[in-house]
Amino acid sequence: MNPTKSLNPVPIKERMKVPRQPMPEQAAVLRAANFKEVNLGYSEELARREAQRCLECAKPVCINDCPVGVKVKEFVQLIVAGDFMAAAAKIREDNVLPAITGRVCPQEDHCEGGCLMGKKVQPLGIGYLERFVADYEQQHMDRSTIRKAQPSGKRVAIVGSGPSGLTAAGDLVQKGHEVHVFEALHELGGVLVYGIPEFRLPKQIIREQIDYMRAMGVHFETNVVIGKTVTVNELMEEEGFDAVFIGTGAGLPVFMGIPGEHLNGVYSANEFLTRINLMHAYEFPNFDEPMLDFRGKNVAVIGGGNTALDAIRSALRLGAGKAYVLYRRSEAEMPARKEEVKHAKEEGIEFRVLTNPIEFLSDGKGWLSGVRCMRMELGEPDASGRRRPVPIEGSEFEIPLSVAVIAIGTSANPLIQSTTPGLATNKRNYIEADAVTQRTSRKGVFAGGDIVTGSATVILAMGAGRRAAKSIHEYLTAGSW
Amino acid sequence: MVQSIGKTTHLLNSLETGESIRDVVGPLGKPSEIERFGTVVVMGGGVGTAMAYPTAAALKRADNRVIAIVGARTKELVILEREMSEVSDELLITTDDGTYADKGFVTDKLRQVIERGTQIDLVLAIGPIPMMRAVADLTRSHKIRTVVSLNPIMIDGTGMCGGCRVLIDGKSEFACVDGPEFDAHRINFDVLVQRNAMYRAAEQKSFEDFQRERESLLAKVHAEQEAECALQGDGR
Repeated sequence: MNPTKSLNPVPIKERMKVPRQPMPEQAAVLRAANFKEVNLGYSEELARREAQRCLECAKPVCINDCPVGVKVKEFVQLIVAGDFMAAAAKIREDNVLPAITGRVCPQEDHCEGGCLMGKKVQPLGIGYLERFVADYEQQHMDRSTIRKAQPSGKRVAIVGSGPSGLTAAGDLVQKGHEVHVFEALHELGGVLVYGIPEFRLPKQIIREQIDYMRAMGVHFETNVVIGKTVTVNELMEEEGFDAVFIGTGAGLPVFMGIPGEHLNGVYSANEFLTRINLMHAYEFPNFDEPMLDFRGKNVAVIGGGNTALDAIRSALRLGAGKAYVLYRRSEAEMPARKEEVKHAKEEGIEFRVLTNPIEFLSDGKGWLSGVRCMRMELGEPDASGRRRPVPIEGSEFEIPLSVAVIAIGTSANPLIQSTTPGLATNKRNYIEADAVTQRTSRKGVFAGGDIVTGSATVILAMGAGRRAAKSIHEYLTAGSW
Repeated sequence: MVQSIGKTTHLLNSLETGESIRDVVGPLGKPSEIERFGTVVVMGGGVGTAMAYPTAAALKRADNRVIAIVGARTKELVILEREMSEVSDELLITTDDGTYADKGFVTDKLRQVIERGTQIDLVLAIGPIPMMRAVADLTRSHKIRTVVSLNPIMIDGTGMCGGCRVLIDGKSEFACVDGPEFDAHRINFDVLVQRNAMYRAAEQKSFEDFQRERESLLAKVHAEQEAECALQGDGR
């Protein structure tokens, strides 16, 4: 169809009057006790009604605000036209993981944040529509029809099967390169699998997206720790790879450096979520990985990002009596997706903002019994542009706790940097890579995602994977560095 | 070598020839420091002897004088005696209950070696935490450099989760990437013992469930193994 000619039956002037179609979801009291997905997805009817709200701007901002450049207006028009498979194909031109981004992208910071309608009413539900299209495609597609590109004869190694690696792999395999993805863990998906819980991103969805990539010709190998069991040099010199993309994620938990962090019951968010998601601790004893039994007890997470909310909402589902978010700034500064904050509140998570832990308290036998905190107030803006939290003197107070989860970010895992000679890093040990080409200081080696930028989001990592794929393809085609 | 202790080790030891483990990754962590130290005492407690043996062999090849001390709770648990004797200049054996060799602990033997005036340049001790701790206490007063190998509870082994953190001179280090070998005199053993006990209740439940349903669980494992073999036979 011709994308410039609108098939939308709703006149432009009427569109702003149609309310944003709400996402059907599991009731809060039910979902707080299970790990099933919170959002249930649009029906065809809801999707078409929502798509018809699109103003079809002549110069759409939504596409500019998307780190991978999804052609939002065009795929939304295809939904209006009722051709959902064509809409899926349109998204796939720019995004190889639509079912994932449709679920976990912070749309308010990207496409929906730019949406013109958002200035007056609620923006177009672009994330919901993307998810609908991706799920529709999954249910109706025939994988045997996926075409493989003409082989280029070049081989690319992708280190890490998280969002940046999968995106780079998907883009490169479509150019005909032989792509091998190496994953350190026993399951594919990186942070999508070990970090994001089932109730926000079901494992089945990730498996389907990876199966799709397998059908496109991507090779996957698990249990390979690049930098340890095989080095980057060995990949290039002994295993014959023409280029390497490093997308390992940040991968080193940050602790707070306050007393009591070694008490039993204090976790990093990475450990807490890995136990629950990757190792299925929530299904103990059917799976062997245990979790402390904190049914009816108090659990707190420290931090205000998506990881913090994923952790505390998992704790609630495992039976926590009280579940707190302790965050040192105010709610306005929280980096978490707005929808997650809303969902968490509905489920009964208590937000204690402007609260900063200063010591974990012991029961005298090595187990956590509580946390001592200080109240904070907001001062002048800091380097991040957010107002700096300042402790209020004499405001110390204690919260009784059985489990505390530290979710204040991650730093750079040194495994690859320390075993790849000539790979330049910055002073915080992240890998130096060009912001446009994702090239590192080593010929043929590219990097992107959290191992370059520090903790960020799935979609920003995917953007880096996409840029890297483009410049890897250019490098492999031109042959010059 | 695997000593059957809990559910997983029992499952591992129930594997039959030709069966496999789905996921194995390694080697991880830092390699053992192998150089010519002079005289090295290599101590293995229980199944720790299996881990001490290859290092003892490497130290011997690096031209060290190796004194091996092997200890076990009882006679049946004394392992690798012949292998250890082949890579050491002297092999001393103890059992806690005196059912084999000399009755006592490995630290008794170490004390004897120290007291007879042998100049020791390095002690490597691998075994249960109380044993490694006792070795550290003994060598500290004699100012003998001592290395122990730690196995706190780990998840991924790549430094990602921080679950295996140990307190070294008051600072967190990760056994999976910074270890597993550490200077024994800098370790906070209290924290190590306490953190290793974190899941004892769950571990016990797992093992009790396993013992109760042992036959059906093992049958299931072997059936899975057969299915896996059949799949691989199809070339997939």
